[in-house]
Amino acid sequence: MAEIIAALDEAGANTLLDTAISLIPLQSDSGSGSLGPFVASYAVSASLTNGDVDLIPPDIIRIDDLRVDWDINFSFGIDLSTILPDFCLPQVCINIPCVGRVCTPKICIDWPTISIPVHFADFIKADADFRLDISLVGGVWKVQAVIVGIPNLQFGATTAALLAAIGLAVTPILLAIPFIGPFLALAVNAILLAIGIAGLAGFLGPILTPFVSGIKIPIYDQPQLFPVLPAQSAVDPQVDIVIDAIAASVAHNGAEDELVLTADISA
Amino acid sequence: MNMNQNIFDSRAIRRTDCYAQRFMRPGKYPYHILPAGTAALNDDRPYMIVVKDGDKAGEMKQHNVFIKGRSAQYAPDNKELTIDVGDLVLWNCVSADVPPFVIAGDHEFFDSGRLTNECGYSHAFGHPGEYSWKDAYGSGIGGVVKVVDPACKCEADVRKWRAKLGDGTIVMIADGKAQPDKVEIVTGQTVFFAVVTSPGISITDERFLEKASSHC
Amino acid sequence: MSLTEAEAVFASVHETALNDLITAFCTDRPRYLVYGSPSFVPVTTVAETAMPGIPFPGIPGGINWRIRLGVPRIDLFKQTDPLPPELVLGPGQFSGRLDAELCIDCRKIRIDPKPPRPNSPTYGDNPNNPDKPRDTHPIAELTCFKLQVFLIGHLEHVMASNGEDAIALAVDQVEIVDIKPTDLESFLECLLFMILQAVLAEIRLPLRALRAGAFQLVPTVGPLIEDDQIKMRGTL
Repeated sequence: MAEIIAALDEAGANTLLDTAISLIPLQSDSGSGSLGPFVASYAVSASLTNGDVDLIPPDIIRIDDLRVDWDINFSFGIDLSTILPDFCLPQVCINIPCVGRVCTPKICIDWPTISIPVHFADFIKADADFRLDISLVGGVWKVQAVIVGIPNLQFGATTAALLAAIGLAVTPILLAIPFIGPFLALAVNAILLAIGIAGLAGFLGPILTPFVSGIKIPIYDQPQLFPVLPAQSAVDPQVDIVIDAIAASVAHNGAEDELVLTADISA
Repeated sequence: MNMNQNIFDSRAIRRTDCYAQRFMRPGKYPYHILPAGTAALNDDRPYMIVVKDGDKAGEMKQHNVFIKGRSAQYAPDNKELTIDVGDLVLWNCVSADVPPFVIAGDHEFFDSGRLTNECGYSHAFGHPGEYSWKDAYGSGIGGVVKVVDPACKCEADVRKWRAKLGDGTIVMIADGKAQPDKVEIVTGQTVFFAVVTSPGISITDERFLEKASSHC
Repeated sequence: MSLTEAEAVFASVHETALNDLITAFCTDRPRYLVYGSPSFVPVTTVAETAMPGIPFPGIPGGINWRIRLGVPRIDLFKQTDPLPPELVLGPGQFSGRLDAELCIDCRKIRIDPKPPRPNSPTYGDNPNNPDKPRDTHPIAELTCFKLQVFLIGHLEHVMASNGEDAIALAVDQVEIVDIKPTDLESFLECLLFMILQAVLAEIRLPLRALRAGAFQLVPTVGPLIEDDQIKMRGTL
């Protein structure tokens, strides 16, 4: 029989994971990825919020609706000439009184390459299973819930919202380009069609998945030489015990599934 | 092309601008194509308009000179052009993203930086808005070009708008004033400023004039 | 039956771990088991706690004494360790067993021919007085005895020295086996009852240590003694 037993019911585990997950610092990353036919450079940050905890014996903590709040700044360049057809101002002729007819030549517009910065924030929810992992490293006992596998992130309405955000970001940039104004909507649409929903999912997936796939939730973190009482004076030094073993499991006790931690100690 | 390349100023000819000059006397008219505002720094005049004494009673003919350029180097497609007296030569740059330029001739009347007689400047307006223009040299000549958005809502509207782009608008400048002094066009249309007689003016967007009014 | 029952958090510590914790305390702070007056313990150290001698008129420096206690071994209900018949371990209680050694510095006192100074219980204790009647009993001739002490007690929820929730062992009854006459046994039991109450009340073990730092626990049920364990239930 274990010398020390600590257990949480599902409600307690929920509360514990609420706190543990909220203490995981904001994670961030940057890089570049494919946004449809374009290459976008990005800086992204994400934070996690606990969902509903389900304890599954013998060692699984399932979190439904684990929420990932993410915030991304990205920019991508578009050579508009690859999106928009050649556009020419036609020859313009005027009659100058007493002089005659003067015509300007047909003038073709060279579309520029533009850079579109986009800021977007949203959240996704995922269901994930975590397995208990126990380690003693550098004199510290750790019990962590380590995610099992890579959850499938469903972006759903996010992609449509992000596409709209790109549309909003691109509009003022296109408006600044001479002669585009009258067919702005067509130009914006051409860009959004080029990216497409699939392009966005393909962009976001590889960026956001690592934030979820690498999750380790701290459950227990104590030094092996465990301080019972701190030093109080020269004649009352610190009192320590040694934690010889730690085990963690999900146990089905009675009607409850409980997260159980056990420890053996020595003086 | 960016917003700066649609600046409305005859002293700096750009991709969507044209400069036209009529030559009323026979002779040789050398000129250079130089970055805008730098004509005083270079006395070379490597290109030539040769005006023959032809049939003055004949109809005015138009000759186009297309300029190609890279950075601040410009070259006309026809380094020496021979025309008849009374003909008009029109310069336009076909290269994208080159700095604005001037056609700098040896004769006072032959200078795109300062429109004097029998010349013109055209500009295609790329953005809607109300453009007040003024002579940067202080003659007091000025006017307004109101550019309205065609408010295209569908592809058919865009087609209609494109069909209108061939319609030009003329502003005649003579005797110290512009006629009409206010014109209205849609985005993408061209206004041709025909200078019949003047003391040497520019057609300059007032907003730039306020920022850079340095002339003597 | 679940561990947490109606609460969210459960923690228990088995008597073997409790004894480890008490042993750790007594090993790191042995002075809580050794007390003595100046001839035995001149100054308090990690190993010993200095106490005054028992003042008595005519005994210079008073009666010097020392008590050494062994590390108590605790048995939580249900009973595992044997107890003398006088002690019965009931639900919610613990029993304890420890060795105790009591010593006194037994000296012969020479009578001072000079007239005694009234109201001076420390007369003769002046080191500047060449006539000071000192006749210390050699240390090798200490008078000591050892006892095995049994006790019964219960837990008290207290605060540790650092303000943490803690438990302390409260002594309810002490038994020394087979000392005659019976009144002497009663006398010694009472003496040790008082001493052990005080000593064990100082060994305060934080609840955090009882669960090896796992989870948070604000007790709403317990600490209780049952099944050879101390159990607590509560909220995070």
